Amino acid sequence: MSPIPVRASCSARAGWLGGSSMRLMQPQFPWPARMARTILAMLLACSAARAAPVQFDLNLGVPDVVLDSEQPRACTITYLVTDVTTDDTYAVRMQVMPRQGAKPVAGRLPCPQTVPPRVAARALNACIARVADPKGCVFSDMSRNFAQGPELINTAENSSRCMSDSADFIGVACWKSGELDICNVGCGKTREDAQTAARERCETKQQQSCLTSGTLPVLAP
Amino acid sequence: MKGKRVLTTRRWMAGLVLLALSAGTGWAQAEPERTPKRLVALPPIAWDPEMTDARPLLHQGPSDLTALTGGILFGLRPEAVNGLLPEPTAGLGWNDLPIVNEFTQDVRYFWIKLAGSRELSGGIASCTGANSYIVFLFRDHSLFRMSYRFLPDADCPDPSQAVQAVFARYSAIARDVALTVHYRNGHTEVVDVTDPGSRELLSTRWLARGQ
Repeated sequence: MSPIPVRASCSARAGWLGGSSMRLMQPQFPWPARMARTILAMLLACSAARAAPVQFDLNLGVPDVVLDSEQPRACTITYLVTDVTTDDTYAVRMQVMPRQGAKPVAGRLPCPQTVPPRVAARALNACIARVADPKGCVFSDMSRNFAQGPELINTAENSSRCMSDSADFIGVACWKSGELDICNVGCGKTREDAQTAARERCETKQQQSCLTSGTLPVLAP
Repeated sequence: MKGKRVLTTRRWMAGLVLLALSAGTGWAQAEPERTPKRLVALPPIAWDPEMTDARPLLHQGPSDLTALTGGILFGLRPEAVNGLLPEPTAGLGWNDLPIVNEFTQDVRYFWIKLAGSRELSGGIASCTGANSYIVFLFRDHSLFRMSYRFLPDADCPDPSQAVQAVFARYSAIARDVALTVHYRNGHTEVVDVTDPGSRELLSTRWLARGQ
């Protein structure tokens, strides 16, 4: 229920009540108690309405949904991390709130130039919380030695992420070394670009055919 | 002399034809099969502009879990969980439930086949294995875990696509609402969805008999 019509009607009634209260003072017309109670109730109702948010009706003509959809999305850094015990690859999206006065470039809010290590650690922790063996969580961009030593040290944090100010999709491409997926990560403007980038990186780095691949949008849906 | 030259030319021609044919066979060969890899999207995290502090971007609650389970929620009694299943077992109660071996506490369970479990098998578009099942685990009469167990068989030798589908579906829920873990136990793939408030029970995994 909008408070606006209530306030408007109360103002009108207040005027009417003012006139009535003048008549109330005349002794030759004793007022019944019921009428007095009604007047009191109306006065209270008016006070309540005046206490309502006064600026409630501002910008009522502006459709909020249209306004929101035109706003550029905040920077999102998406990491890929892998659990080597199951070959599950997780996408962890980090949305960074824009600084005051940040200007979008080509409809995209800029991402930070440098990413603190704690952000990467948080991405890794998102994996660690879901696996049986925490040591199984590594970044998804792996070195050529990874098959021999499937450990975090043989993975690259900065190549395992894509940023929304320069890419729309993140991709991963892998080859199978026994049960283990050996993967690399790529970024691109389209799904195909990201997949190609990941596959080329994987085939160059690993010197293998990287036939297993997947992609995901960098921005959260 | 002329006859020899013709013979040599014919040999060259035959060689070229053979070369062309072999190249043609090469082109006609199918591209190596590419396998899709599913990426499991976890709930997004929001950082402040300085990237010093992080919090979940989405506010999720129990209703996000019930949307996937057809109303099943942590804390429900065995009778209530049973009542929400497509084919409830008549007269099921706490005293009838068998005890789970791998827990030191009094933890009890019952199970249903994954096939035909309606919402609980939502999102699965591939084979699951006919003997795959879901276990409901209870402590103090209340549900604290749903455990999906995928068993390969002759008709479904690799149910990993189904495993990934279930794992990805529950992993989209914040871990303070439901903690989803995937692991292998012999040939069985397990996806546990556990109440994060169940504390000491959280880290206990299923151990198949004889392991």
